[in-house]
Amino acid sequence: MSVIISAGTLGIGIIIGYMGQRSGFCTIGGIRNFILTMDMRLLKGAAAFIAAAFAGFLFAALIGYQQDFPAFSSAEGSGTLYNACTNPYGGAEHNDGLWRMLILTIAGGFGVGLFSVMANGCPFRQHVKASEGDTGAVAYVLGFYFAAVAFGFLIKPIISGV
Amino acid sequence: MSRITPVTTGIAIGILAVGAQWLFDEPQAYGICVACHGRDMLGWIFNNLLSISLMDVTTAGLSAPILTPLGILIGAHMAARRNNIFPGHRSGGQARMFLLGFLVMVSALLLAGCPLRLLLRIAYGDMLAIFGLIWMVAGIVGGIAVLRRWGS
Repeated sequence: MSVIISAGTLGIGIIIGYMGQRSGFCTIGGIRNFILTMDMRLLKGAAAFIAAAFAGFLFAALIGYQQDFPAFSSAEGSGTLYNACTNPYGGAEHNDGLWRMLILTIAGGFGVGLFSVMANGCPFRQHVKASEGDTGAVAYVLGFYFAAVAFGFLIKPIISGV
Repeated sequence: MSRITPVTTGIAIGILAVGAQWLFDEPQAYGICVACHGRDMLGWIFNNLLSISLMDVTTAGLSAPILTPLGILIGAHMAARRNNIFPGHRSGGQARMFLLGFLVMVSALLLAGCPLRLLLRIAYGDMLAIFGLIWMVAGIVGGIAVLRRWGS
């Protein structure tokens, strides 16, 4: 099973990486271009992503694969209203208190938007640009993974008190 | 740009994200995420190959290395090669970009996902993700203002 997980995710990554390079797909760029110039090209891609994923989850729920699809779940106490879908460590988790969850989501959401615009693209786009040979994007990706390692001992102690 | 448009890319990522969920029972709506999958990939390397428990990973990342970010790098590299994009555009200021990458990853881990997973969670029916998207748009507006004020 572990081989299937690795090979499956690697294959999916290759497909979306290839398509992302050809199309310039970028979620942050889509919203930014729409705000700046009403350009819908990339925003349409992000909207198509949500629509396709919604249709896919709906199909999976219909064939009975995912019974707990929260969009249609009426299970009481399952956290339907604010199900954070678990659970990168230290981040907003579904079993957190409401205030902690809201504060972390506000800080994280605002930070992702702000710094991604300043870096000129979402993480997915930066990976694609790094593969094209953009040295700035390579530096971005290195910082990105350095933060993943450093999060546990730099950031987690700070937010554990929130 | 030929037949592969942002819309077809979005549809493909959406379908593959739902399909990838078949690989993971937990967490939910985890099919695509650059930040979380990168964290799980590094965490698996540290925990299993180097035997250093430096990082926490999700239940999906415990059992096997999740290689989505590596695949993205390989796939985009293949596309750039086949279409002679090299050498690509070079955005300057490597120290600045390193810092921005650091800050985006920290924010994404607080948010429980990169922008891609945020949209996937919205499709999954996660109200907190809609709340997060509102604040991400606010951050984008703030970023545009910062760039206007102090230049890029």
